[in-house]
Amino acid sequence: MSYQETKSLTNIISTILITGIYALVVYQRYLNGIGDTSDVLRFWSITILIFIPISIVARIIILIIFSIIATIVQTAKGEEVDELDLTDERDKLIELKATKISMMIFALGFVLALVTQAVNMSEHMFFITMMVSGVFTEVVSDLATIVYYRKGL
Amino acid sequence: MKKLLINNNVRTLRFLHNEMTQKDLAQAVGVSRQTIVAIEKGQYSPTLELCFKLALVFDKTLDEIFFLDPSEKKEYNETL
Repeated sequence: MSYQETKSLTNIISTILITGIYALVVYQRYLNGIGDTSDVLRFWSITILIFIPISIVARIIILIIFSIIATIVQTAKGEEVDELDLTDERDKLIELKATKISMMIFALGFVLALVTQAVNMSEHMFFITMMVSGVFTEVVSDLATIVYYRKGL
Repeated sequence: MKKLLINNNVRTLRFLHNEMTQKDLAQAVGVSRQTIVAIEKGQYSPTLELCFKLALVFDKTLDEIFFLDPSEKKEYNETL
């Protein structure tokens, strides 16, 4: 598995882990009655606003750990460390194609979230659908990246 | 429109060029080794800029490095 493929796989795992753990914490707080859920918009605004910095910091930490491990492994294999994070035209093209796929999936998720409101589901469902589609989008985008690296463009 | 299958002589030219390694070629043209591997396998068609860089490294013209499969050429001409 190449560096880019491993990086994408790490992204998938970290996305699922970070969002999963945060969702669990929020759900536990909700069950315990911590946090005002009477105002749905305010509740979700706070939840998402807290999630953004937590997600960024956690991703940075995971990426640093990943880079250290990758460097150690590459050094042990006797490969040059400089080559690890070189982004060339192929990487950019793959990233572009993966982004295109992720945009389409997220748009689909947004439509699905709107449908939940059209069929009179709770407002919570709108935000849950958006969050789930966000995670799904990231996972599919990274999976597409791995496929493009494996099968070619 | 169907994607054209473009073959190349990069692997052969590397060996004819003092048995150049994929890593050396990658460094010479400024891409990753994985990209050279993908080009050699025919999994990736490089940009014109990269093609010219390869041509400069091997001191060859573009058609000496990249070429269409004869069957592809025939098939493409039939569609015109």
